[in-house]
Amino acid sequence: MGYLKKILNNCKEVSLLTLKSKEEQLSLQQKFELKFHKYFCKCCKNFEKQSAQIDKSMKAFFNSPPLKASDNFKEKLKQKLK
Amino acid sequence: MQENTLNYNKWVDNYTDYLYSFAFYKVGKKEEAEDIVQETFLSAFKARETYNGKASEKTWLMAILKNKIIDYYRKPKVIKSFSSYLDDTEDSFENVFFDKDNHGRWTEQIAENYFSKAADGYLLSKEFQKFLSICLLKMPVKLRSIFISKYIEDDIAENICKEHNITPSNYWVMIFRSKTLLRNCLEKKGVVD
Repeated sequence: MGYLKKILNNCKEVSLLTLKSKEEQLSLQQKFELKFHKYFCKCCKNFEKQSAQIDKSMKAFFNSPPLKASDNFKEKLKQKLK
Repeated sequence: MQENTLNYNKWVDNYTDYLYSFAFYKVGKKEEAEDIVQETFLSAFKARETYNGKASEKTWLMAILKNKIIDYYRKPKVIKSFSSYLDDTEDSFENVFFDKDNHGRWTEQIAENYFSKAADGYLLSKEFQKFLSICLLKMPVKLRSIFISKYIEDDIAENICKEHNITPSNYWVMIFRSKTLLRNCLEKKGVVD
């Protein structure tokens, strides 16, 4: 009972593991704990969804450069590349 | 000769903002970001004979930028004690986002949110991207620095750990904290503004 209670409540560990699971293999036990927890926990499910949304918008963010370097700096670069 | 100079001018026109944006969000200071971009172009210029056109110019320049950023983190004056940063901020992070009296569950009910309901188009919209930029700038620079590495040419954990001399477990804690802060900030933007 203690074990189930622990994995039902440990949002911090579960959400961290969720991120890790996108890149790395988890152990069978970890996989089970994630599934079990997320079945009952809307918050962690939501965190997972938002994490994917953040990834998507971060990629778009850097694709159209969010900042502009100053014209002075660009001019200086052009002088150096001669 | 004339034609070559034009080519390098084009590099500057086409890629400076792109390289500078990454460098700035990474190191958090204008002068240092400019130095990194300048060194990137100078190295590219020196190695221009070795560019074989297999990768796009942008990808090639990004690879050089990444190396310059690694050099930057090797400099002794750059504070890079990521693990002591994590130790120092552990309690405050926990107290804000997790409820110790309730088995460590999220303190807030984060199940009902504005941007999880948003369509993909909205995530790429000017409005949302503006919120993202505000929220990124609010993040502690050490955290942001690691976080955005992930998005530089889709980098993987193993490389990022090596480049910044951090352990995989610290890396995942930093990614987790970054996303927790970011989603929290983005939610507030959506609700307040």
